[in-house]
Amino acid sequence: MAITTLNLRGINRSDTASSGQVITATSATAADFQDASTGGLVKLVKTTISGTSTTYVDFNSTYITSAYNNYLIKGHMIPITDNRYAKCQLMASDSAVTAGGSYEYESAHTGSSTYIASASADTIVFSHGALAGNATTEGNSWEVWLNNPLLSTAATTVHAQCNFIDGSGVHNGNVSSGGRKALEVNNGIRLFYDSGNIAADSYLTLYGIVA
Amino acid sequence: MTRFKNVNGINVQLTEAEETQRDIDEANAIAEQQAKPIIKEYQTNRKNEYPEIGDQLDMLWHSINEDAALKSKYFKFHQAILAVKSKYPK
Repeated sequence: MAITTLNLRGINRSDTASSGQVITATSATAADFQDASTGGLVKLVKTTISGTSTTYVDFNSTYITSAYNNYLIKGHMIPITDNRYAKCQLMASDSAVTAGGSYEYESAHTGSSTYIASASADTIVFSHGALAGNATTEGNSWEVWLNNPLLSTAATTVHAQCNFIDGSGVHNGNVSSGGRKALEVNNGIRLFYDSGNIAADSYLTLYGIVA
Repeated sequence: MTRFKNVNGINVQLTEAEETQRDIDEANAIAEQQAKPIIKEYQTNRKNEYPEIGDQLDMLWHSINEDAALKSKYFKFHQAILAVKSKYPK
């Protein structure tokens, strides 16, 4: 029979919990209260697009801090205009780095085996080949890993997977990686489509990864 | 239309400089895309369903092997494959 009610006040145990600990049961003799698991993802902020006038999604130094070495951005984005490239740029001092051929990237479109790359780009491309459509069932599912943004001793890199299934049921996937060539602190990331805005109800969630 | 950026979940209007830069980026993106062919749906569908290249060549060889005129016409191709088949019989 499944337990549907737990009367915590009825549990008469002598162990005392410290702040942040959780009740657990690992063995008959172990303490009832132990530190919660320290690994995993910590949700930092979720952004949901409203209206039709949003061009960029930025996560800046408010959340990209030294608290985590790596971050995950997960969500679903739909471009307002059809057939758009998904892209990103990194941010230094909360300003997107937009010029100077600052990035190098490689991106593969798995549906057609086409591949694009650049050693001197102003953006990092996440999707190409069959591009993200603007039908309500299309867009891109995004999974973007941001690595070492706050380290000046290692390059800030991103790797991403984007995919969608078009209106005819055909799957299109992209696997991409890239980074900023200069060894500098990057305290933010900007995600966008190459042209046109982002449709309402698109969303991205930023997680910090606990090492 | 005025554009916005969503910063940490909050909409912020683009600065004049950002608007100008976005206009330039969008114009470049459209020009770049127009210069490249977009992969059509039928191309992806065909690619996914075509036999492997090796299988296609094998079918081609067998078609040639079954036709004396083709065997003569594509003699070098036919003989090169036949030599390997003969070297490693089933």
